[in-house]
Amino acid sequence: MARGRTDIGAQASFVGLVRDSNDGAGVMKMTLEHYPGMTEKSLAEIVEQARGRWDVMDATVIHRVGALKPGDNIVLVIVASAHRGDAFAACEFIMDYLKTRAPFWKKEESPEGGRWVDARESDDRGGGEVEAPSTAGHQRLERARSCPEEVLFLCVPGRWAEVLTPLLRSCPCRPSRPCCRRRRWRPWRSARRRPWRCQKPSACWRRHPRCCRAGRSPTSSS
Amino acid sequence: MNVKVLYFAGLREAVGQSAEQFALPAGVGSVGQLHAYLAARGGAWEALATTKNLRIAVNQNMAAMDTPVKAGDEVAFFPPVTGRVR
Repeated sequence: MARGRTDIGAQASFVGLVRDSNDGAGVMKMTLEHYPGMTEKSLAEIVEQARGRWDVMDATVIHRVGALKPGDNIVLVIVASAHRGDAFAACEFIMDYLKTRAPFWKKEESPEGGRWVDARESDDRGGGEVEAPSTAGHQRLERARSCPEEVLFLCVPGRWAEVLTPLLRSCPCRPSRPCCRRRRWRPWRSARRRPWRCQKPSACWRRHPRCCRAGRSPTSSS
Repeated sequence: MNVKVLYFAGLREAVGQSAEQFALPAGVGSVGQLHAYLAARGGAWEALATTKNLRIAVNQNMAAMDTPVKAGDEVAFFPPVTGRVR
């Protein structure tokens, strides 16, 4: 990917593998079905979206289909960028988006028989335009779990707020303080380019410096 | 011109076939009408009506129930894609 180029400063890669268990059931074999034509198109669209959001110089996605056994590689995502921040973020975005939007279906063979793996309700809302999963949301979630001061960073737009807010509620530090209820964030795309602030600072329940005053988004620096 | 209907994953198993082609019946002009027409066949096609969060694509683009369907289109019915974000 970087051969013959000297402007690439970071390559991030992800490899997904078949696990030997899922929800407590052993998995002996897995079959991945896809929609030929549409799957390729969605993968290309996902990469295109990542290019629009981050400084992606090159990206490769390879996804296997058919019969797979535990330990097999399923998917490879490689992203090249000038800086690691963009490479990591775009790689995670592509992977998250691929899991929720590309037409792949998994059938697992366990000792109890075969079963199609259901999409989680939270993963799959509506067939129309869905708010992009913000990968920064994941990072913030991890941070929020370990550090109560960072809880406010758990604000992500759209459906992700619905997914993540219950997790926040279970945070031992702020058991009853949902984070996104009274505030709305700017769309992710602009949040990246503009100062990190609430759309309605007056409605913010807590005057957090990173939230209500101008400041850099944690994702804008690499 | 026929309409091509595809089924995937659990729905394909329930219906017992992966694809079929037939002349677009009179009065069917949208995804919703096609869905109702197929579900009304009864038997295995009842799965179309009972599948939760059924997804539909017309010519490989995600579609809604009011998306128009015309002869020559490829209409795919499938359950939500598998995906978990942890």
